[in-house]
Amino acid sequence: MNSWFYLILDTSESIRRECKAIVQLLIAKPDISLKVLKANISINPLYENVNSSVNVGQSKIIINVSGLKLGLK
Amino acid sequence: MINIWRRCNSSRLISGDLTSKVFAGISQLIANAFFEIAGLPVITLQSESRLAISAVTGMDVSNVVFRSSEDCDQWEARADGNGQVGVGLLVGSGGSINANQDVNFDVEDQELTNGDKVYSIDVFGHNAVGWSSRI
Repeated sequence: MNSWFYLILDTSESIRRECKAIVQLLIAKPDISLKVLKANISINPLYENVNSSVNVGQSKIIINVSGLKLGLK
Repeated sequence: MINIWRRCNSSRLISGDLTSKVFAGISQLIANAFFEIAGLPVITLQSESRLAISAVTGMDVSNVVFRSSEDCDQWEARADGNGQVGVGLLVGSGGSINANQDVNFDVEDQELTNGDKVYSIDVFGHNAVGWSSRI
């Protein structure tokens, strides 16, 4: 029995989930406007300064949560 | 004969004096030991609902249950404090708690503001003798 323990914080899991949701949205509605897309993203303060990317086929979608910049490569 | 009696009496006195000193020493040792064991609170964690959390609702909190061996007038939980009271991120605190009774608190993702990593979470209890130590 200890008076302490280790606790892991992994918000990148959340980022991955957000990215999947965004990708699904983009696939379903490729002509969606950025404004609508932004409205579909819930921003958590912990996500700030976190960059993430998701591969969709040959394309890579880069999501910069801090600046709310979404882009396609 | 008188000299022998005096010598015996004298040695008995010395012997008695030593015995009382030894007895007093042992009493002090026992008292010290009792003070150490019964004085400072000893905190023991009973359970943690999660050892890893994220920002996803429902996965963003770990409920911690602990007990103290002694009544405490206050307690606190720290993240990344290296086992030191008052150091690190405050993730839980409270007033008086009773000995050997479950106390619980939540550690939320938004309280861990040093980013994604492994945090050590310490719980401390305080009473009139002082703060508990990390065990």
